[in-house]
Amino acid sequence: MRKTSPARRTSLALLSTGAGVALLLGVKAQSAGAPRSALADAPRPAAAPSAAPPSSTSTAAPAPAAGSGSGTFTGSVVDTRYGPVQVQAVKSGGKLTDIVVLQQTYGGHSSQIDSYALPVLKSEALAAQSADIDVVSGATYTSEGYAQSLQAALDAAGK
Amino acid sequence: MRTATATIMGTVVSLAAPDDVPAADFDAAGEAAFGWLRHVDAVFSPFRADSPISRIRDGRLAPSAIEPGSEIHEVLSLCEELKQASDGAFDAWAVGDPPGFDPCGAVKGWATERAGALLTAHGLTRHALNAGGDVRLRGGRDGTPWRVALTDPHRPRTVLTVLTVADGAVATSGTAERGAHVFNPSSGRRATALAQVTVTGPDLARADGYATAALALADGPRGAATAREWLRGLAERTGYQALTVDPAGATWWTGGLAAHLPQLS
Repeated sequence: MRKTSPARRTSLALLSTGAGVALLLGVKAQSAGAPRSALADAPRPAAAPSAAPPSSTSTAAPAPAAGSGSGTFTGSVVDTRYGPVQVQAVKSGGKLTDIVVLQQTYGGHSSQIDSYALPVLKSEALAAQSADIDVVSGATYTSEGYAQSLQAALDAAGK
Repeated sequence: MRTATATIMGTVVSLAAPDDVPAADFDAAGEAAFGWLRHVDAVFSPFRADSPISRIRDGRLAPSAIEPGSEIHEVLSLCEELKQASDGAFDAWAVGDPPGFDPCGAVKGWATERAGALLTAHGLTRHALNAGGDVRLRGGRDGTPWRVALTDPHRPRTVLTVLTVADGAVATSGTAERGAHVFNPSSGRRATALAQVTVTGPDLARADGYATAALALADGPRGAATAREWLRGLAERTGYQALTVDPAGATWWTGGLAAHLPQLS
């Protein structure tokens, strides 16, 4: 329950701890750039036919409005057990909206980590901020893929 | 929140209901819904040689011989309705290469819609039922609408946006989890021009079919524009609203979706 279940929020936050938070703590806000949306680089979709009524079009999903506390914060290179990693945090209106992994290691054991664990760490940190959700709609996951899904985290947190 | 999960139809079905529902009632309703979905999984499996679907596919069972009112008849009618509504983009008779009969694209949404009705019949009037990403919601959560996160197809486990829905369905089709698995029957190619389509409206069978159809339409000569045009018309005709994500990450939504997007106001 949104108002009455701090337990769920806590559980999700716990899910996102570990290396994910370690990465975030490694961000020391060395430089603050201009505010940028996580999806600002995406091209605009094809224009709607002129005969049709206008519909909403945006380069980003309904996103938080830019406001105070916006900007891009680049961290220093930190050594993790997966190798050296540098991350960039993107804040908009005081909320964390994206984490960009700037440097990853390749080769050997850590290449597998790069292609799998790092995106998960990144997304878990964001998921924790979006914990006020009940259910997740997305492209159908397999029963194997479920374990890595946000819905699985919600189901676990509800118990 | 009370939650329960079951592995059915190659995915995981998740059920959630508010805490004030007695545990025994929640469990009984959940078992009824999961049991129904397991039954559908067995009857409609295209992988079982003796299933009605396999028999229709290879001509052993003529559609005209199917008893009206039966489950199979209901699904075939839904397939026909979706084919008409999508100008042929959703065609259960032209799936794969070579084209063959496969109603899987309609079965999951239909079965989950019926499972949600079963939950209500068992007294679970407030619930969120999620069949591998296709969601049926009823009764709100505790006086507020359910909050439905849409996944970002380009960043697994992240939330693209949140829709608020008290009663209704939210279905998402995309290429993120299983690769491009939706066929455009006219081109025979896998649909890839849109990364993800979400449709919301009263009924999950329709929402799911419309989302799948839009993904297939996007594979036509004019690409995603065709799908958006169709979704816009669909919203006007039926009230079902949509949100699309293209392969570059750009999003688009029908105007009526704003009612489900409190963060826009």
